[in-house]
Amino acid sequence: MSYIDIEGITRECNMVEQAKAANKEVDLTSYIDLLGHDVLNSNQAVLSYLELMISTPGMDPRAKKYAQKAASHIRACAVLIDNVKRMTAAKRGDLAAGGGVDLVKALRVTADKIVQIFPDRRVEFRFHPGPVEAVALGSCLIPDILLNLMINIVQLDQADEVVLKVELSPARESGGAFWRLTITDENLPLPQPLIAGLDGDGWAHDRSKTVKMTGLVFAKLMAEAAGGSLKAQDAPGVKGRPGCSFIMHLKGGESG
Amino acid sequence: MIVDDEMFIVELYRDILQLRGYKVVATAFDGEEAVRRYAATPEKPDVILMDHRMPVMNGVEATREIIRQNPKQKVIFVSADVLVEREAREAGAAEFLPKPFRMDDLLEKIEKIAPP
Repeated sequence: MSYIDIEGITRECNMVEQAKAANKEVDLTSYIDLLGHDVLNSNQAVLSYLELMISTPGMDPRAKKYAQKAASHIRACAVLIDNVKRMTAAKRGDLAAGGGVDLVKALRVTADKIVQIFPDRRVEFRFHPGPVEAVALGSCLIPDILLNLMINIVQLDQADEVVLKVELSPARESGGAFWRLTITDENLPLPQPLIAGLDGDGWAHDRSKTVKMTGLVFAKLMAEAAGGSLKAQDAPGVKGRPGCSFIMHLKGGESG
Repeated sequence: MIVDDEMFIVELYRDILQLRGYKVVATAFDGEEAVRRYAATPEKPDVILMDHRMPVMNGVEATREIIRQNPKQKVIFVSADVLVEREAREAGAAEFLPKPFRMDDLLEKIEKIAPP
């Protein structure tokens, strides 16, 4: 009488299915990586030809402004593509958080980039007096975190003139020493569903809440990957309506 | 010299560079062709703009080979792959510029290495 190992066959089928699923995931992440590369190349061409147009002597001022707006969107789009590549690298386990980085310097560098990304708008950063140096862990993630956070805030504001107040201070939590970064826009009343969406992982379950928060969600996920957090809350505003503060905690590191 | 597997990127660089009075002495569409043409070009370029992801031989390997031929050759690595910056510099690249870059940033880096 022959013996059929039902459990063994079932186990093997499950392993084959898991292997197939894993291979499909690898194919998808590899494809996304290739796609991101090609999109960035195309973005480069669009951006550079727009810049050539903008710098053409005698260009009509209105046409120049249109070209600047287009260039601004392309630059913001390129950041999103980079996000996809970083997320796929993180999913593959290829992305390390990295060592210490000085937040004071990183914030200034990012502020300069934001001004360049939005040449069609007036973005002003007001830095509150704070530490001379603030080393946080996550040198591979923090520049992108800050960039995404600030781009999304400027995009949400939509005004031609945006003022962002930036405060940095030490904070102590159960996980140890942190840096608390608060970016406040007094002219940005955020709807409660958006604020709630950023809290916890509610954003993943109701995407209608986070449809305009791609950069904020990326910043939140990467901050968490670096051992920190991000949330939003109401803040005192201007012109009779509330503003919004984005509060990020990043793990403290040691000076190099 | 311009090295990139995308023809439209090569044309874009040519358009930018010629506007500022630079002469493009050679182009290549993969790393191996770049190494070959560099060796064969009598008028060596002041600067090579090198992409990374290319068929046959990638930019890091091509840079390494070209620097081996001429340790004084200046290479500006221009790539959508920001994660390869360290490898590029270890291979001998003088500068790294992630795509998409601002035209002024590219020209500034070229002028720093090879003033007109």
